[in-house]
Amino acid sequence: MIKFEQVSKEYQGGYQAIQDVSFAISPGEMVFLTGHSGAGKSTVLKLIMLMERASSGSIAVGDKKLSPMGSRDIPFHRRQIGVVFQNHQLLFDRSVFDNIALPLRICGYDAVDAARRVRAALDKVGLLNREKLNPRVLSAGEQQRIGIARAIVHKPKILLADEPTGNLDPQLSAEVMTLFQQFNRIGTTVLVASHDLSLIRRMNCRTLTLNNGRLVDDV
Amino acid sequence: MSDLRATRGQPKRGAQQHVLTKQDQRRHWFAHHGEVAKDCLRQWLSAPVSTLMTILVLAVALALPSFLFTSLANITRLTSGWDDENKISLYLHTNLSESQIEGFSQRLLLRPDLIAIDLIDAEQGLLEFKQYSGFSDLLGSLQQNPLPAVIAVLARDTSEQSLEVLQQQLSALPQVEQAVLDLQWIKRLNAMLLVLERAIIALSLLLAFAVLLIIGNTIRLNVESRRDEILVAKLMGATNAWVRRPFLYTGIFYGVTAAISAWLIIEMSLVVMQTPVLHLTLLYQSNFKLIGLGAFGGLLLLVVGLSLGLLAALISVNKFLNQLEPK
Repeated sequence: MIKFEQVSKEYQGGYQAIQDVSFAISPGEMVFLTGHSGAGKSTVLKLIMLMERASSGSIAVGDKKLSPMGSRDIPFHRRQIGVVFQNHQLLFDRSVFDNIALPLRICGYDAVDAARRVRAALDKVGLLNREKLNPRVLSAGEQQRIGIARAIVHKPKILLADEPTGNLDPQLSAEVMTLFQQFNRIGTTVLVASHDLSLIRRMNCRTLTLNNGRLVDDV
Repeated sequence: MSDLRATRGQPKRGAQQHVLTKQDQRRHWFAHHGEVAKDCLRQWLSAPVSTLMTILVLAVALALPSFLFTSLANITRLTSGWDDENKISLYLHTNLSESQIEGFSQRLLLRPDLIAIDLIDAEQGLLEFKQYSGFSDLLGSLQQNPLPAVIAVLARDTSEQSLEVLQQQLSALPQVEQAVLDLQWIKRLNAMLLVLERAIIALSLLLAFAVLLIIGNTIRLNVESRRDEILVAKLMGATNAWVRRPFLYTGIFYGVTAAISAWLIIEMSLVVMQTPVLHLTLLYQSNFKLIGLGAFGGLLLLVVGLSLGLLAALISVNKFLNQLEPK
């Protein structure tokens, strides 16, 4: 599903974010990506999302190589990926419902179908009664779960998460991880970048470890 | 289409993507346009004063060149009736008898360098003068006609030099008191109008640029204020066209409303000017009437406004979107 072959990324100014990274994630797998901050976890996610392009090497997502994709292909590439951000990136100028409906509006679902899917997603994260509220009034844990609902509402094939438990206490973190596991069980490929080693150990999943931009461990 | 692509080869359980047909996509496209238009309207209504101010500034910038062009068109139309630039008026001595004048005009007819001759005798001249000058009472009290007979001749050769030579020749004739090249100034006026037209074109380009900057800057601020939304939408697979759409609507709205306001400004100033101009033309015995922008001019103004708004929005949004392209 996601395949990196000797991928390097050098940012402007010569900073080498990742170097010679190769790995493959098969469909339906759940994988953790770990390493200290600055090790290149976010860069790997950004490369998969095509927010950045690799300096060398090749990346394929869903059997499609990313390097030949132009700006016209990028939107359609991104629609098969759901992303959960550390700072959730919710929009505070609209309700929870409208936040979650955004990916559906972008993809062009009709309003009735979209409403049904938004409620299904809210139900999955257990916040069905919050749909009319502004996300600003929700707790950090609830905001993160709204972010997750938004990432999975259009049933993406791949779910990426960048430090999804960064701001959460251990109990909420565990809840979020359980959610990811549930999506993984219904066939979604999940890749979670996190430095929370104890949590990762408990989840007992395949873990890729980055150190100074190099892949040092894959267990 | 990509959603179709995306679902291919997908395991048949759980996470299945919605498949969008072409028809769905077309419906979505129209629905999104409607939604965006409504959204824009709501946005303007939420800040009516600042929106109105911007529109007024744009309207003035669009009205000024349009007004100048309209004025120019009016002046050009006014002078286009005076195309006989080769006309020379010969004021004859008042002591000539009618038969002498008649004979002189007939001799003039034989000259090969003249193509037409029009004799206005003293009586006729007085009549016309009474009619148009408004001094009829005063003129009536005069014992004798003070006006000379005038012969208007048209020269065959219209070049400035030969006209001057001819004027000198004619004024040297014993019957002629004065020979006046009437419409020399029309030529100069036309030349000046040409210069003026160029100046107005240059000014129009400058003002069009100003309109572009004003709308562009308004849209840029708009884009900045919705930065987060755009970033998130782009990450979720929004196309550039989808992101651009609301801003293009805003640009078109500013351009079109400014053009309509400019049109109103011009038409209103013409209405205000109509009465004095009418009074003036009556004094000059002319049937000149002020013309406005007209249907073509109005349409042109609208198209210019719309294009400037669209172009400004495109430039502003694309500049922002280009920054988001992966490097």
